[in-house]
Amino acid sequence: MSFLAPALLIGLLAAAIPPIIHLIFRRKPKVVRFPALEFIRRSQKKTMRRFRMKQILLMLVRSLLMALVAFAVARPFLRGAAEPTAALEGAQGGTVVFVVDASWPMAYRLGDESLLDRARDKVENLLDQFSGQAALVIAGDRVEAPVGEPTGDFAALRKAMAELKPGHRADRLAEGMARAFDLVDEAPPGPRRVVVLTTAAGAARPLPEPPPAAGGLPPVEVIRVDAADGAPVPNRAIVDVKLSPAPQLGAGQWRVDARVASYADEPVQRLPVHLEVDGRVQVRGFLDLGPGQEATKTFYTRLDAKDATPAAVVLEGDALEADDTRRFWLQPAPRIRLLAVNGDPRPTPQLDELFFLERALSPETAAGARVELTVRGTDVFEDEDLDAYDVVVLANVGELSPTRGRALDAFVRAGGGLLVTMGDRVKPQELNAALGPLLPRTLRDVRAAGDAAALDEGGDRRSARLSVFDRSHPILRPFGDPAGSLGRARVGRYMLLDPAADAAGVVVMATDDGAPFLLTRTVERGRVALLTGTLDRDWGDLPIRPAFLPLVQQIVRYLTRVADMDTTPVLVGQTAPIPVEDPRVRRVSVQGPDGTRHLVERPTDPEAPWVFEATALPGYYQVTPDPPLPGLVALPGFAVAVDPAVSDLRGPRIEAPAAGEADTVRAALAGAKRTELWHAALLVLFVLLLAEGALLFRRKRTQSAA
Amino acid sequence: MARQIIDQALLTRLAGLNLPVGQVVEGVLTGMHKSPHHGASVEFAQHREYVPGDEIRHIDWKAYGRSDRYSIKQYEDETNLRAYLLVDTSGSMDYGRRGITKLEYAAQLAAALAWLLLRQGDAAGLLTFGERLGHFLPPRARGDHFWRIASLLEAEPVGGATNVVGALQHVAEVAGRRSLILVFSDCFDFDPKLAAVARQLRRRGHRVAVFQVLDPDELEFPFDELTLFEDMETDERLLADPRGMREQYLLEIKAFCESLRRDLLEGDVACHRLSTGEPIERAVLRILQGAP
Repeated sequence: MSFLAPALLIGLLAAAIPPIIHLIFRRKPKVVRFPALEFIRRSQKKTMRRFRMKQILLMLVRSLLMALVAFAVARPFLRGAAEPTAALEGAQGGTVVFVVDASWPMAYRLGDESLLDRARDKVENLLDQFSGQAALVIAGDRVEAPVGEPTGDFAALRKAMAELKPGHRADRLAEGMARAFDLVDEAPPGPRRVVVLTTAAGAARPLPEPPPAAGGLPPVEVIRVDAADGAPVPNRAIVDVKLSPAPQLGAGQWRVDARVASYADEPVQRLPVHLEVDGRVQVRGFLDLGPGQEATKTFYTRLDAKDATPAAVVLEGDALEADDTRRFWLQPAPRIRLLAVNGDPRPTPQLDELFFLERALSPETAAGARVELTVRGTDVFEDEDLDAYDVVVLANVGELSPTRGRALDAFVRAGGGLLVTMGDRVKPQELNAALGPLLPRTLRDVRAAGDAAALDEGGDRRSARLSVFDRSHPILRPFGDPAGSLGRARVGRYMLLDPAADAAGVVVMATDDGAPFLLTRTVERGRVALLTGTLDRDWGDLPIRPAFLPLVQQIVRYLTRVADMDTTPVLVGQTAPIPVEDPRVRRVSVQGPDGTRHLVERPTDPEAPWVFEATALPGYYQVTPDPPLPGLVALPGFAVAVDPAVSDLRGPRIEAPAAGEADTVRAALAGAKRTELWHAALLVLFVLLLAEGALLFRRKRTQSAA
Repeated sequence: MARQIIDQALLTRLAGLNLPVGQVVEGVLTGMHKSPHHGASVEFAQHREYVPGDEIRHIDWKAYGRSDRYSIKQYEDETNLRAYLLVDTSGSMDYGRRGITKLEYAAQLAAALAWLLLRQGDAAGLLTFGERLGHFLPPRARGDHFWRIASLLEAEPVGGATNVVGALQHVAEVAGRRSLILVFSDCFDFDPKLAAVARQLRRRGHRVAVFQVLDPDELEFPFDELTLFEDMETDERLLADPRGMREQYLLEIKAFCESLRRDLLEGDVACHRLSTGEPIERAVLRILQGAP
């Protein structure tokens, strides 16, 4: 048995207090002349032995109580003989290289101290009992050897340990061990050991093996020590955050999906988690997590700011803070340059072909995309430079010149988006000729909806409904139940398409007539959408339906490939792409979480990626052009996070190690051999208190009864 | 120092009362006691043959008419009860932490009963005893005999062991005819012959009552601290912690008192247990009412 605080065992002397008090305060007996002495004699014969036993027992209990308090305060523990570091204790001679894992998981707080504090204590304790030579390697953000030469003077080693702090990376342990093997390889002959102090998971992870010993030298012994001593280390972490627009909830709404993992053997109820925007808590929520389970918490937030805004999802009340926060930038909506060609302009706004489209894409209603809408008539369209646009909408355009057709073809193949909508002015053959290679299917002629159904039902129907939906299509993804929203729209007429077995297009929606209503097609780098209805109310009432607004916005996003905002985090130590496309910006200033600024030049090779490498700290990195560029929209930044892949600190679950695995298991569960006894001491203390109370109560009851 | 046993106020209050011996010794209401002497009285007892010297007025002429012989009528007389008061003066009777010792209590009680007996014309005598016999005053029916009894009770020295049996045996020798024998003692001699001697007296026609006088301390054992108890008769010392043994002590003394009472009652001997914590007047009245 050992003690964490053996000096406090001096408190065992307190066991002598009850007898001392008894002796000091023992009074001389009072002399009483009494006639009925015979009865006292008879009573004493029967009761005195029992009474004395009780008195002695009571004093023993009280002495034990005092001794147990001192015993418990000294924090006793049992140490199994198989503890790896047992070989080191009291060892004479030899060389030890301590490899201390200073990765971010070592900041895990177990009670009042972190795992790194415990590792520090372990090294201190081992040094107290060790009389050979020791060196130190720290595997934190980088591998360092503050005591690179094994020495018998441990002062420098203790000093380096005292200044140790956890870093932000978790991938240096293998490198640190390799460094330790190098150091121990140069040590003088004798026992050579490498002691690795890390988490239970780290101890169980595959680590480099020591090189084979040179002739005659003993092999290097690797001792892995769990800094938590096998104590449970439950941890929760945010492993992913996804950001996507939520136009169905209103203008400017964003949906934030935070995936939270529990690395614990116990379930957790009502784990608090919140969304911060610009440093202020905006939404609070709770999560229930089973052992080892993952769950997703969804937040909705509205972004009104025009500049990039820092945001984060934060878990509360966890022992390891580094993986409890996932930061990201809520960036201003991406700019989409859209050219709408109006094939049927009208003087009355409500009757104009583009009246509803313009409102659906207005800045007040568009979420997640900032649409710069340019409207042109068919006559001016011939001369328009398509390179200045991301999406072109042909709304009820009757015909196109072959030149325009070719220009559109090139535009789409280069990555542009094209939306073609129908109307009375559309001439199918003309459009087929001009846009044939781009259209999902060729146009045939205008058909009054409900005709086929009317024949079957007696000719009463005049319109069709949208009833067939490809729910997996990105355009329909925000619609939880498209049949309930889009399905309410009535379609009076539509453009009948040629059936094509080998058609490249995908039918997104179709009417209950079976006629396709919305189709998409990918042509090289670009995308095309074909709406067989109109954007105004001529052929149906879709434009006046609430679902029209998110449908148009989703179509535009789909065509420009702006469906979701990229929230993939940059991990500490990885390179971060600098998100600046404007060719005028040649240099940016990147400000890190600690306030330091780094100037990064755009690479001269246009094919080379423009990246930032000094991502040593987790947090927000703000990117600004240097020098400032007037009129440039604020550049988005990026966020850096610790790698959640190592958030699970638990060691392997091993019930009964097989003989062959003994070494690995013993190493992995190094600290589990230590069994703290102070809990048991407190339990005994409590039982003794009860016993003393019972003895006293019995005596009082006897006296009162008498 | 002479002890004060005469409470004039008590004697005055007792002046109007009689001592019903039957109740005292038997605990039942049988009326006033009857004298065993025969003589001039109103209640016929028996006839006997006339002898010269008898008063002629006692000749039953109706019986002479029937039998032609002179017969004298005899009547029961309600006087001349002889009572022996046996007061224990052993060392154990000198205990009393509450203002009155057991001996003082016993003496006052004996004096009160003597007062009652003498006032109703009976004869009262006194025998003090410890380990050995003390002073003896033969029963007398004269009024001034009370003061002799009182004086002896006041001045009698205390000490020695208890020997109730010896006192009773002595009385058995001196009491020639049937008498009333009242014993005032704590009975701490633990002599198994006590009940036997008492029964023997009862068989001889004597009426016997034992007044066991105890101090409340003996009945309650109100000690808490470690105490060195010293025997009042033998000076023997015993160190004891009363807290651990009170329960057993109370069982022991209760068993002793009950055993004594049971043994005496089996021999038709009354036993009254008295605590010196009880006012003497109340104790006398309780005795007169025949309560145990």
